[in-house]
Amino acid sequence: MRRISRLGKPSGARLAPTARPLAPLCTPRAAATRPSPTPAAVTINTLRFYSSRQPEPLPASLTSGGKSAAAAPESVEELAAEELEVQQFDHQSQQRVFVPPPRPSVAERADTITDTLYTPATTAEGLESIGGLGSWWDDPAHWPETSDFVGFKPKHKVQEPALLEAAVRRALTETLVMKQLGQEEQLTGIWGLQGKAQHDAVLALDIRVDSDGTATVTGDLHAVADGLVVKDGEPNVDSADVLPSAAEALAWKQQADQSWKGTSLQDARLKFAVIKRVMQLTGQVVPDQKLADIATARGLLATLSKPPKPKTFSQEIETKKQDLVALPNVAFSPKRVTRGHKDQALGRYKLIEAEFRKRDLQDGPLSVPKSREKKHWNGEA
Amino acid sequence: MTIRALEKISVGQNGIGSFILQCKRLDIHYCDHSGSSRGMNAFIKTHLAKFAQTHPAIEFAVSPRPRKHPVMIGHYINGRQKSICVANMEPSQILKKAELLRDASGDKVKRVNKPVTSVNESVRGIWSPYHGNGMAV
Amino acid sequence: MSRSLLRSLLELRAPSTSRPAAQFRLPVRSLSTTPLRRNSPTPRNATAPSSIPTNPAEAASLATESRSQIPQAAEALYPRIPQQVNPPTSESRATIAQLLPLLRTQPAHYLTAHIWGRPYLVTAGDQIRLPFKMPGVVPGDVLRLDRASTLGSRDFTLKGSPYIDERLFECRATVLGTETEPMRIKIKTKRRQRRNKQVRSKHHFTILRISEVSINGPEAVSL
Repeated sequence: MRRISRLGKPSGARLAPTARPLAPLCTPRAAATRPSPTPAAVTINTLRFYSSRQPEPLPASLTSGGKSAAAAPESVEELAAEELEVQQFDHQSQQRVFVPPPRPSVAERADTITDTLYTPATTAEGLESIGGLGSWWDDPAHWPETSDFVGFKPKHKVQEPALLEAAVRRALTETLVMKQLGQEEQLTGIWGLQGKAQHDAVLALDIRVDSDGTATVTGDLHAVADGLVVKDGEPNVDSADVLPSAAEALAWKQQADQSWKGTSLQDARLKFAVIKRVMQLTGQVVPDQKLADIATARGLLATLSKPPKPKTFSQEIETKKQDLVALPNVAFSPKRVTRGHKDQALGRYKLIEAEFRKRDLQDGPLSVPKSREKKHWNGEA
Repeated sequence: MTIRALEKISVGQNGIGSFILQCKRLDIHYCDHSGSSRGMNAFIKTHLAKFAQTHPAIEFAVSPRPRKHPVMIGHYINGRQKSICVANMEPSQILKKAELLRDASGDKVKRVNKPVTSVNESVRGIWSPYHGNGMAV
Repeated sequence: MSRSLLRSLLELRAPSTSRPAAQFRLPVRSLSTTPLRRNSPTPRNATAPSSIPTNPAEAASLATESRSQIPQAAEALYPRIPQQVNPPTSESRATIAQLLPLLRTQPAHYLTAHIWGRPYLVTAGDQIRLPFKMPGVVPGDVLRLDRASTLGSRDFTLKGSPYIDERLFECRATVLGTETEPMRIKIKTKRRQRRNKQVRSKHHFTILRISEVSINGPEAVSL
């Protein structure tokens, strides 16, 4: 069985694309029939939205007559343009650290061979086996950490209430700035992630909320908007540095005016932009069924700051039932208690290990190794 | 010289000087996911803290046993065990089973016909036909 | 000598048989045990509340004097019913005053304690397997058995009619727990029916241990 190749997909945050509206994602098959862009227009940003791999021409036998004529390059100019494009793509892929696997070699089909001496083999015996990737997948050099997928949403969720509040305030201010400046199309785009200076600048803007919930931002709006719109090649900032530390956020929260939380989020475009930005900053996703209930910034904050539900019953007992776990005559174990644990409790385990060592039977702990496939699922070599 | 066994001086009888609960340890096993553990998990959540608090003489060992039915195992001073499967039971039923394990002595269940068992000698002695005034037939 | 004394004690009952209401006669409904909750569920190593005595002797005083330690449930299940004693006749007063001290001086004693109307002839240290599961008691509880029909030593026997005055003796039992027996399977058959039915039954029995039997002097009944 062939494994699904894990191609490192370039991400929005790492590659800092422009904030133009998203084009529909295409499959490689669809990309083959799509008119290819001119070499000048091929940038890393367009690659992010189309395909990370150059489409291969389909074998002639698989394409029917009329279709293949449309897809095949016709003129010399087009061929040259495609050549240039391939070169440019290769150049850029060298900058990235991902190393693609060698191309599989395909033998000629028996019905297209013109050699009269050729006789097709009827058994596999005696045939030379060629091709295959060998141990290519297992080489850790092919899987550097820098080629890992970096998603739009950070991996680790921000849970501290003060940090969440600062992030929501920042997202709301930025969204209002974009709206006030008339850049409506930017509300659905991807915004850049700047560091602490930008965060402080955004929080310094003043939000005034009317009785009906509409908010107005005053201050240097253009500076903030310029920081949000991503230009090509802008250095990426890790999400950990985008938000201030928890202590700083707490200090800000204590002295901040709380009236901004009354800002209405009834406008769907506004709500979408704020939630998208909060997701980018904190990694918190608002579930669909709760979207309709969020009417104000306060409601959004309440939805986000709910502690996550414990995953298992054992976790629930460990975290929530301290009155039971803390009793002196109750021993609670969140994992299964095995014979090994009983041996350890009795002090017998050390003796068993020592006896094994004496006989050269077992070196190291008496644990069973985990399955190798599990490593593959996790993307390890 | 013959070997003579040591004479037994006293017999341990629980409840005469002091009382010692025979159940010394209660193992409580559950499963995080299986439906048969639903009642047991509710029991651990709602009843167990109070039950353990009122029985400090018993050690409670709570641990999961994935993909198995929930079980309570009582360990007794005489070295025996008594285990009860509490699959698909309600929390109140499980509490009754826990009380059963607490009340048990750990001995093997056997049929006893005499209501009183005694190790004492007869207070009034054994009747003898050769003593006293005799009986007129 | 013993026989003559026994006879003299037995003769005490002669006047009482002629009169239906004898000195120790009691209403039937007063057949009750008095549970006293000692520090039963509290641990052997934990600190028991200071108000609950751990010593049986102290517990005894608690049983007779203060019932504030008994939980509400036990109070409701086992209400304290005072024994109603008719004033003893002059003959019985004389015998008790004369012979009860002799009975006390003999080393071992036995009594026939009644629990829910059933007699159990016990000495200190005996184990009783009640034919039922006593509700509302937990292992470690101490019960005072206050209904006894006979009380005796090697040579003397005091008989009540039907019960002895509860002030004359103190008998305590500790609840050890609950036991069962193997399941009984009774096969029920009917004539000319090709079916039979298995009836299963399994009962639970409360186990008691007699922890104390002591006899008070005649001064307990102000003689």
